[in-house]
Amino acid sequence: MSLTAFRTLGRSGLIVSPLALGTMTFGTQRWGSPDEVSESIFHTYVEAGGNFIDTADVYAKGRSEELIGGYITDRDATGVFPRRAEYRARTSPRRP
Amino acid sequence: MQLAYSLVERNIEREHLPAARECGLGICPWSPLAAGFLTGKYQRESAGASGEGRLIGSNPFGNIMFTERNWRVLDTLRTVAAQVERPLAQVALAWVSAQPGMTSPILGASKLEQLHDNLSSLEIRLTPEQLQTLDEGSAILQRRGYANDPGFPYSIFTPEINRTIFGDTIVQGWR
Repeated sequence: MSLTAFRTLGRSGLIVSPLALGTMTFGTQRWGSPDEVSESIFHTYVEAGGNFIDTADVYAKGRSEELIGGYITDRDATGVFPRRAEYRARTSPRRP
Repeated sequence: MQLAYSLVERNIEREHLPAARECGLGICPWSPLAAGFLTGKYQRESAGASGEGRLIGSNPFGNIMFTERNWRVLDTLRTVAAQVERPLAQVALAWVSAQPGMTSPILGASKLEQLHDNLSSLEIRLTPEQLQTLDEGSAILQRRGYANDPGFPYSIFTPEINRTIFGDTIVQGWR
């Protein structure tokens, strides 16, 4: 199985990867990741087919959301749903 | 629904898991590796534990992972991981993914190698016997003094946590 073995999130109709990427490590000092590592983790996950990102305004006091916003803008990551931000980027038939 | 769920934290099986199935909610469990405890990177010491990771020293979990019961769960995990010849983290994730009601466990990687390792858990199919071994080795303990220690997630419903969410505003809960 891979990250593109999509499934629905309960009965919501959202279509998500079988593993979500948590980003509480992004921008977090002691046990988190340096920014360049966060960036490579994000892109590796998306390039492997992942479309399900967990973030929150409390992660690194908002820094996690800011970093992810930048990564999405940089790569125009079609079809990534930042879940708690409750918006969805463009969809395509190939990648929900 | 987002809740902590792992081989060492199975309390949501009491109420939340059945409720999610009844209501058609997917569960996205956080901390499926129990803040790294289930990677096996911590070693048991006479008092506490040693190792390289965030559970050593000051951290939000304190020493709560380093219990007799959790070390026994880790021993069971080691046994199954040796059978399938995979790292402990991958087998622990495969167990979570295999449980009913799970949509997508939430990975937490601070290093790129950890992400690659975690993603490889998708290749693992545990046999019914292996799943049963892990189930039995990590069964929820019957708690004494339940009213004083209600278990996750009720243990985090405290006035202090409420204040971080609502500030000084009084919010009447649903009833």
